[in-house]
Amino acid sequence: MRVLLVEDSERLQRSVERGLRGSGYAVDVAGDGTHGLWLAETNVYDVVVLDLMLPNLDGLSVLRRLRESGRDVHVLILTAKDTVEDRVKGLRHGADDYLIKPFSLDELLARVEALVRRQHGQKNPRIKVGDLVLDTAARVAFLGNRPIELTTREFGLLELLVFRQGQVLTRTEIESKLYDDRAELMSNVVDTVVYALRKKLDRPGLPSMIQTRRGMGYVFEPAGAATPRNEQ
Amino acid sequence: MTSIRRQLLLSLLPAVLLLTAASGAVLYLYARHVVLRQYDAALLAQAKAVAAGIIVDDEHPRLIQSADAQAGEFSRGHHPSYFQIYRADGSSAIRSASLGQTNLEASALHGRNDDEIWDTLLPNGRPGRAVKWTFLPARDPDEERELLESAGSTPPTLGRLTLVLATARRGIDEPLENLRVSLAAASLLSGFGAVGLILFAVNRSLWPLLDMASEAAADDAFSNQATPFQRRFPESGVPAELRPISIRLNSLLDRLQQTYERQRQFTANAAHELRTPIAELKSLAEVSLKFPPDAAASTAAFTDALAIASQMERLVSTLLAIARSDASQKALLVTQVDLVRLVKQQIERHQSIAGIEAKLKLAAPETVRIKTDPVLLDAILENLLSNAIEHAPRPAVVSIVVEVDPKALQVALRVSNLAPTLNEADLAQMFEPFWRKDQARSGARHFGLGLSIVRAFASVIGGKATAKFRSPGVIETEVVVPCLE
Repeated sequence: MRVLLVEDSERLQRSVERGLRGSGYAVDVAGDGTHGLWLAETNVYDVVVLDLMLPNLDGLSVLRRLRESGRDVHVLILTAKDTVEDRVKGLRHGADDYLIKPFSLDELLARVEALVRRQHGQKNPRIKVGDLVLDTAARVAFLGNRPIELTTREFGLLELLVFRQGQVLTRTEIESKLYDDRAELMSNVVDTVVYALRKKLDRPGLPSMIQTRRGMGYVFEPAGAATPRNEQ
Repeated sequence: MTSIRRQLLLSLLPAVLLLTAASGAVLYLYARHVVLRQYDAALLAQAKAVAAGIIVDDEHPRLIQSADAQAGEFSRGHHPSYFQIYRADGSSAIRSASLGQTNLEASALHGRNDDEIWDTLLPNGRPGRAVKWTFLPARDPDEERELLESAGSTPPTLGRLTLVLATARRGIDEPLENLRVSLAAASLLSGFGAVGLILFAVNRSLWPLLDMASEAAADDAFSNQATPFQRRFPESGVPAELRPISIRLNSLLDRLQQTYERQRQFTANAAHELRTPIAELKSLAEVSLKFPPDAAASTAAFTDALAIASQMERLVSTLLAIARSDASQKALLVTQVDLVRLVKQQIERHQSIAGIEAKLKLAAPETVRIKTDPVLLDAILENLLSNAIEHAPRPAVVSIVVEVDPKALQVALRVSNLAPTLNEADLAQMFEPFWRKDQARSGARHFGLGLSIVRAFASVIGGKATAKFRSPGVIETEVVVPCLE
């Protein structure tokens, strides 16, 4: 999943970026409102983490313009402005969540995860597809009862595919979700990850959960399971 | 010092009560005196009338018929009057029928003066009033003629007789008693009426004062935690004596509220400023714990942590300096200082730090001596210069002018620089703590406290800091301090 971080404090940029990346997100960073707005309008993000006190263009203006242009990406406001009025104002401008500095990194990650789930219409952090269980909070996956060892990137891809189950995802789309602007990409980087994931998921005798659609992309279609069920 | 209301009541009520009682008493006494005088006059007249009706016939006084009009009074059984006539030798000559055989006031013959009227107890036991009248009786006219004819000369004079006449006091006692009762009742009524009126008038007049006092005393009025200093005293509809007090109190409350709000704002801003470095430190630590960094990243992380700590330390020191400056009047170490020398030192320092980024120009006399605290003055200069250099567009051209005003005995220090982003509205705000033109501060090197330090310290050393546009887009910050020569 791809996250945009708009924050003017460089130190905070570095820490939060590292935290998000470590949790498997692709992260783009902007240091002022103008740049942040441009990135948000140019790319597709799952979540935007937005500071309010930004140079050039303040956070609320960025948010307002984003909403006016029809972008409904989830926005989490991260700010030191903590009064009720500030929170109400932020939420009424179109924010989806509000976190006050200083914040706990774990809380930030959990809120971002929740917004990502919401973006994909998922309530339950544990998603069951056939006997594949994906715990998006703990970032682990199980096949039957057996835990599967996945790299951060592989888990990210699996999560994306499961969230968009039944929909064909192009390579470009997958690339934009898994990799941020900093990554230096080989041309077949997506194929490599898909291949690695298939090796860990596929079972002999059964069709692969990840189907290739020639000329289009990939789709997640586990055999015998029509739609993912939220595990009770 | 007791309450106004109590003082008023304590002084008015007894006085009024005393006054009404006294007037009643005086009125009664006067009336009594008049009545008594009239009564006594009538008594004396009656005695004279009785005496006039006495003629002597063969040495025996007798009451002539013309006096019979009074006879009924002296013989009736109910409330009679009494009289007795004594000869000079003290023997009784005539007694009124009412007397019977008793003597009336025999002691009065020698014990009382002529014309004297006194209170006595009548023979029937009732209170009465008696009069003594000594007179020369008339001779029976026939006898007088006989004597005149026989003696051929004036007949010898008869001995003087003494009349004692006593009547019942009932005639005056009853009316006097009625008068006394009436006056007492009237006094009582008017006394109560006056008391009631006074209570009403005092309470009514003092009500606005009592109202104001109870409002001031109300617990939640001025110490309400949620909205302190919000209440105000009414200024209209209050008595003329209280209005100045209300107005003054309200203006004091306004100032208190303003000070309180500024204090609150200052504290909120300070806390807010600390939030970001704390958030940075916290995130840094959490990320390093969650995703342990390699050696290079570790070094970078600790370097960052140190920088954040230094930043917070600077902020806290600055805040303390401002807080102390409010109370530091006593802590001033005043010595003779050459202002120009200090300015030159600061210019040199800033120029060497800024290098080509800034150009500082000075126009000043050779030397200007002032008596002040050099540490505070230095802090003022430091903040003025670094503020100008920081905010002027690159390369920062800053002009410094030192000018003495000998008439006003003060010296002005003016620092000017280009400030294209500032406007008139900013001038008022510039000296407020934590104010920055661009509210989002990247780099967080400046907290927006520099000019508030300048203003606070200037005030402590007896000076003043102001700012204005010297020309469009050029801001001039001026600090004026008193000087000696």
